Amino acid sequence: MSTPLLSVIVIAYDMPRQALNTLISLSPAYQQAVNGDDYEVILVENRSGRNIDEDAIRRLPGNFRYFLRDEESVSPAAAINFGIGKAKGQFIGLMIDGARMITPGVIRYALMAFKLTPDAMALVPGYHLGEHEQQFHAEHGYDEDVEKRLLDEIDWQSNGYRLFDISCICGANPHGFFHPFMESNCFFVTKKVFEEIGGADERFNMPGGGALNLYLYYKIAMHHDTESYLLAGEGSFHQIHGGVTTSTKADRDDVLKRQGDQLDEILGHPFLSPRIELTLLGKIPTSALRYVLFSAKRGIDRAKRFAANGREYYEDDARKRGGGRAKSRLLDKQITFDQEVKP
Amino acid sequence: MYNILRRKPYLSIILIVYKMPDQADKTLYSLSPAYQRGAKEKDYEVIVVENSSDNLLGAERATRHARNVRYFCRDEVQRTPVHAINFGASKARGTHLAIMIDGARMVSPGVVHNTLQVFRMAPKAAVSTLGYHIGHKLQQVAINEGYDETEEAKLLQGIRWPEDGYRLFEIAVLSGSCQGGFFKANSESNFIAMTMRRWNKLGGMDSRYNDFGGGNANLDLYKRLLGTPGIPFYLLFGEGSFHQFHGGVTTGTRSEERTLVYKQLTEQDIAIRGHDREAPNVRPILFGAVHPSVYRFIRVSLDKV
Repeated sequence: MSTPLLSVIVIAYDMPRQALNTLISLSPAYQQAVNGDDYEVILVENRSGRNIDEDAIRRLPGNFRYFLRDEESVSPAAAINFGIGKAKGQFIGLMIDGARMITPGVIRYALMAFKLTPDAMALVPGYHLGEHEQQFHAEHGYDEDVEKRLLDEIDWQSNGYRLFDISCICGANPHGFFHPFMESNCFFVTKKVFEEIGGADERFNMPGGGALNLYLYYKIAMHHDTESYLLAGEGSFHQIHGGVTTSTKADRDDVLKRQGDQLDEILGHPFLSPRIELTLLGKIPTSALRYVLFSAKRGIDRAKRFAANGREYYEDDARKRGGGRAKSRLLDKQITFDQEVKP
Repeated sequence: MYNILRRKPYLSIILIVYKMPDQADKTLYSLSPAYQRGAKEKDYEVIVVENSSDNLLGAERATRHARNVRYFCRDEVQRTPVHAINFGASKARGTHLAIMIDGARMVSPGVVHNTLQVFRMAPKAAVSTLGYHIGHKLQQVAINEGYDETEEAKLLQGIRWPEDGYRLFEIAVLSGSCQGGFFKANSESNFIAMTMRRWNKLGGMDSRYNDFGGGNANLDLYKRLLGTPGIPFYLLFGEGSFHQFHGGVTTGTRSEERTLVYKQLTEQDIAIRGHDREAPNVRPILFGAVHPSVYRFIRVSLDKV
């Protein structure tokens, strides 16, 4: 095998069934229009009482490497940095939560974004399987059995885009494509940029990493070199498991508050989702059109609000580049046309 | 790096002008590096081919906005732009070319950059953007209600064009041949881009379309291009071409006259293509950033699905 261009790092802990689905969704048998030699998948699992079936990974087509680690911390930060250290590709894909399976065009379009510019960040929108966000599922009778049945019904391995049919929008980006993203659970960037932002900051020591993923997204999106591409026709789909913020817990609000405080402290300022312009790339499957419609409606509302307040729509673009960006610049010289109506 | 060995795309835009000097002047400004964002003068050229008339744009006006414009004026005995297009394409220096059959259609500010970006990513792609009419109704309807160049000038002034070219979406409607929107089939585009090699393989415009405005020649080109087996089709859905009112054949004539002309053009189209005249049903790969003024067209497009 030649050196892969891309290394996708998947982090797992105590989610063998879900992580295996995620790996299946990353295999070249499922991913469309890809060359299996172009990418590798590195699964880093922190040891638990329920580890993934290593033989099942071996049976998958594609370049999978598996590392089982003993980790004292409850955070995936060290596992991410370990995975980055093993990566052979010049580009990195990071899936901090191994329970998120993806649609069949993710690898293809991520690699296309890198053809445009090596400074691309390709971003996949997140969804939750089921009709409701999973942290509230217990109240609706949703559990792993229901989810397995849903996945069987759509025969997801043969119809990956039907995942959109059995999902709902993720609460981390509740307003769709035309609002600033808070995070992405599946994103792609150069290894160089990932290293320049300092990798996964291991001060994020809370279970699941706390707000580490928001931090990573923020730092990469605001990195002065990156250009962000949204793979709007693709998705990453969270499968139910005993995760930190996605299971029913009475103290969920308290956990989120502590995560937010830690994020602000490490960032050195209050967190705000980066207000940057995203370039959309990809084919929109029919099953995802309802999310595009939802996004457009919310986008129209936001545009009205911003127009009423006279606010800059992509204010962080200017900030990250240390000045005005093409989109917001005014013409530098006035030009006259014969047909103008004089006031 | 990953993209270092690729040949850099260079785009030749063929713009056809006939009896529309004021509109073409604005279109040429919209294609200039001063207005186009992220596009460098050295990455593209605009080839203006004007069919001679008593209302000329002329070389001086054609080249006043940018240095990457070449102007050709020709005498044409037929009332069609297809020969002018084929002539313009023969002058092209690009690896890729884009056909703009109607010089009265100005474009939004990301058309050139995004087209080049697609060709960097997918060199053999077909690229287009949807067509719009300036005004709140299709111009062939609006003309019967008094819409004219003065009304249009007021609309353009209202959005302070050309300050932010994306605001054209605020004063536009989808043109008749692009009623499919972003997610359904459309009949044509006034910005059709491809490799020079593909253009040559297609044989350029079909010169049998020798009637008013070329009749359905542009629809025929669009269909033949998108019908190419395996060709990836990219739609710059955050961009557009915007028809300015002028005395064109299908948008600037009153209804009775237009009906007669349409009938004649349809008969010619059937004689050339037969009855296989459906819009090409190819789901596009969407590409581009989306200005907030485009959101309502996403919504309109989805209402049609």
